[in-house]
Amino acid sequence: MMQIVCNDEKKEIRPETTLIAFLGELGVKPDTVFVECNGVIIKRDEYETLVLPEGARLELIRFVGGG
Amino acid sequence: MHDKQVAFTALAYYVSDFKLEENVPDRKEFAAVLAERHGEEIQARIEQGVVGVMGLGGLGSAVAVALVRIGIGKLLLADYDVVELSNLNRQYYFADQLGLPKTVALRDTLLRINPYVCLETINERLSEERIPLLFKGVDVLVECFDDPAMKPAALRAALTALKGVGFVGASGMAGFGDNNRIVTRRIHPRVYLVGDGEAEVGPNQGLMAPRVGIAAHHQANQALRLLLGVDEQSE
Repeated sequence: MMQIVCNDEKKEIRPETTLIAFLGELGVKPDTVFVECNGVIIKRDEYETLVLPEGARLELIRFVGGG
Repeated sequence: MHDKQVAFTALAYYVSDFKLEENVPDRKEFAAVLAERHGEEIQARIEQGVVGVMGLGGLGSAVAVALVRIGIGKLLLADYDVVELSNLNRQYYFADQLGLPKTVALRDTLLRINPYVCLETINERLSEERIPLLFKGVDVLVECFDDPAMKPAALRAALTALKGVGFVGASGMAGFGDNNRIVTRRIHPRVYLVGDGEAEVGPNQGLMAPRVGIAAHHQANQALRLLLGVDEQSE
């Protein structure tokens, strides 16, 4: 296991965890979340391929529908 | 192109019914009254302001009305939908506008408020790729989408391809929850999100005019603050 920080909270993940898998574990719908990893904005089509590096600092902003 | 022609025809027909030109004070009178109320320097900045509104539902229609009332320089209004009966519980449309494209119906209403406001309408379904092309050059972009996937998409577009443009998004304003859980928070310089962050549309939690209106007016006031050069979290 390795550690990352997600919205200022420490999380343990398995090595080689992709962003999409991590979001799945959190129960977050990938299309409705804005993601920054180590200060870089992640494009939606990179969620499937981005492997979270050790110590990554993730900022997630979840959006709900309605307007 | 086709959409624009349809929209234009509908507008020409619809607006002509109101005979806007009769008995309306001239442009100078409008400007003078606003400057007197708001302060000359402030009004001069508002009149220079160009704001994009993406999505003309409960949020976007109210944001546009608020900004036109204070004499905004120019609005770019984008939506692909038509006015439906189910919209009237919260959106700034009227029963005699059912079936009209929202861009056309709202333009008509805004011109009744201030016939001299400069409006540009965009009748298409927006995408992350199209947003920077359509809204390049605005001072502030207000995200008023209903679709939860378009909200992060718009934020990505603003932060990556519209750097320096003010951005005011919204998430979480359904139901009749606590007024004061609707907040405006700053997530980046000149980038703000309004809402409670969680109240999603669901059973017994529909979108309703009062709370959507609270969020919309947070957005409108934040857009105004950005136009006036204020960029800090409100207390």
